[in-house]
Amino acid sequence: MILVQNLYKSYGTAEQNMVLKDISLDVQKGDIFGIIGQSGVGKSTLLRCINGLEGFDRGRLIVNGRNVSDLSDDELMHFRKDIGMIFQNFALLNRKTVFENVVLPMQCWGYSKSRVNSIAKELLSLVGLEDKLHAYPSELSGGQKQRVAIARALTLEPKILLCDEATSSLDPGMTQSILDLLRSINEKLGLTIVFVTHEMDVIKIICDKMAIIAEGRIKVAGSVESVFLQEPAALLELVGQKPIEIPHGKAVVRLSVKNENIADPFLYEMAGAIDVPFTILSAAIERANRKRFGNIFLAVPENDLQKVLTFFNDRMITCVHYNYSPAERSIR
Amino acid sequence: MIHLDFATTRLFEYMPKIILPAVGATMRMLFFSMILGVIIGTLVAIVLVLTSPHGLKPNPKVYKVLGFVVNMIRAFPVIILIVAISPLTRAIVGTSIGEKAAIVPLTLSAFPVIARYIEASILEVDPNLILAARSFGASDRQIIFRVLFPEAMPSIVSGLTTTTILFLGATTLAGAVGAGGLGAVALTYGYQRFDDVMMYAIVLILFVMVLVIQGGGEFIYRKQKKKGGVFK
Repeated sequence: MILVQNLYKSYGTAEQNMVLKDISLDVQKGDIFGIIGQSGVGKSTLLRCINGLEGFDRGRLIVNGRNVSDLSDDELMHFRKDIGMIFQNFALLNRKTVFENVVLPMQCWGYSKSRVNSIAKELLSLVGLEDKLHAYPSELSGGQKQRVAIARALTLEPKILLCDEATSSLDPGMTQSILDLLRSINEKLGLTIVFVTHEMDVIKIICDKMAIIAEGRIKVAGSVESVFLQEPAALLELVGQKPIEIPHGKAVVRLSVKNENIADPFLYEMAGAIDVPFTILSAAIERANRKRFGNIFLAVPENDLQKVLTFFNDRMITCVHYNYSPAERSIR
Repeated sequence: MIHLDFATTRLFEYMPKIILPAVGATMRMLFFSMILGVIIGTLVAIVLVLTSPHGLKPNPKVYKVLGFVVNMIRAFPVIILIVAISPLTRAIVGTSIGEKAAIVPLTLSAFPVIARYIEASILEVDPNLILAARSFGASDRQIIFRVLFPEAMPSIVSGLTTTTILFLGATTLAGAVGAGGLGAVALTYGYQRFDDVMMYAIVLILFVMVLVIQGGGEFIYRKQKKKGGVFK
């Protein structure tokens, strides 16, 4: 659906103005793909490259089977019809009503009046605002404004929806309801969603796949589950998590428990099968996108290490000897 | 010193014959120069907005040349402009004196002001709106007329109110060089004949006109703003 290969972009010519470096991504149809990073790392720029709002210097970008850099201005306008976009500050026209905002894209494309009306009403009821047709944006809450923006973005029946920090100015409750709405739209309409954010919770709630971007580069990409279980340096950096300290005379193992094993009583079984006086150093079970998975850190006596590793690896639960070294964890 | 001598003033005698027709002349000069100024100013503003470095179709050459011309015309005092372009005025309306002739220099000095007001109002519109409109495939024309102008309207209205009042003053100035209207009456029948009552009566009339324009402008502004539901 969206294929990015070795994309580079800079503002001006100087090397330090390079905002995107060697970006490669592959977003499949129906994915909800999260791109996370701190502000100013080029996430939004990348998003704007995808629908051609910004150009790029080098690399290949194929969206909906079309090579974006080959499109003429006119083709670009038609190309953008298939890609909806929503923003952090909603980007609604304050002097137009909810209904007028939603019909605007269709008016620009010269849809017939009856078609405009039926699509607008249908979408506004999809986002739960059928009773706010004639309200102005200033009379709505942030969450409702974003719902209007979502309805507007869907009017031209796009195949892709780009979300630029779409929940970053909403409180947690509203964020949750907007994300639920996006997920239901993804399921109902088979819409591919690319979500740029700096909030890890958003990634956990809605995304299937994720990429971490820092200093203009993709540091990690993969399914949300695999990225969280791998705990790459970029992830720890982003969530500000400190590495585990190893107690004196003990060895630490990291159990990476996937969704399919999480309901098993594996610690209980280990205690019964091998006689190891383990303690739990840290256990974080993530609930992300209806899956549960997480890393559990156990401290075991050094001479029992092998027994523990063998036990878990026989049960197909990834278990590794955790050996923290600062150099390896550093992001550079 | 102000010396109001109600015994000798010819204010009441001149009221129907001279002052009332002058009010009409001033209003006509103002009305037509503002209408023409808005039309030309809007076109210029559109080109400025389109070609500005952050505009929809950046074109530094056109933007700089047009910006230069606009600034240069703004540098001319209205009274100098009236004299300086009299050949042009004669070519357009056939004469370089009188009410009709004054409309040409007034329009010429009004449109750059109006263009800059409109440009500034449009630049204040949230740039994300342009991104959003582009993201659903709107053309530049649609962005300008369906997004930028509607959103900037309250600000444009208040800018036009200020400009209109500014040019009410300019029409009286034109009166001094033969255009007629309230300025000429205040000058010739008031000031030059030492009839202070006459002069200040005309100032009072102008003051009422300012109030009416300001009030009308605020009324429209309020109505426009209310459309966004934010006016309290």
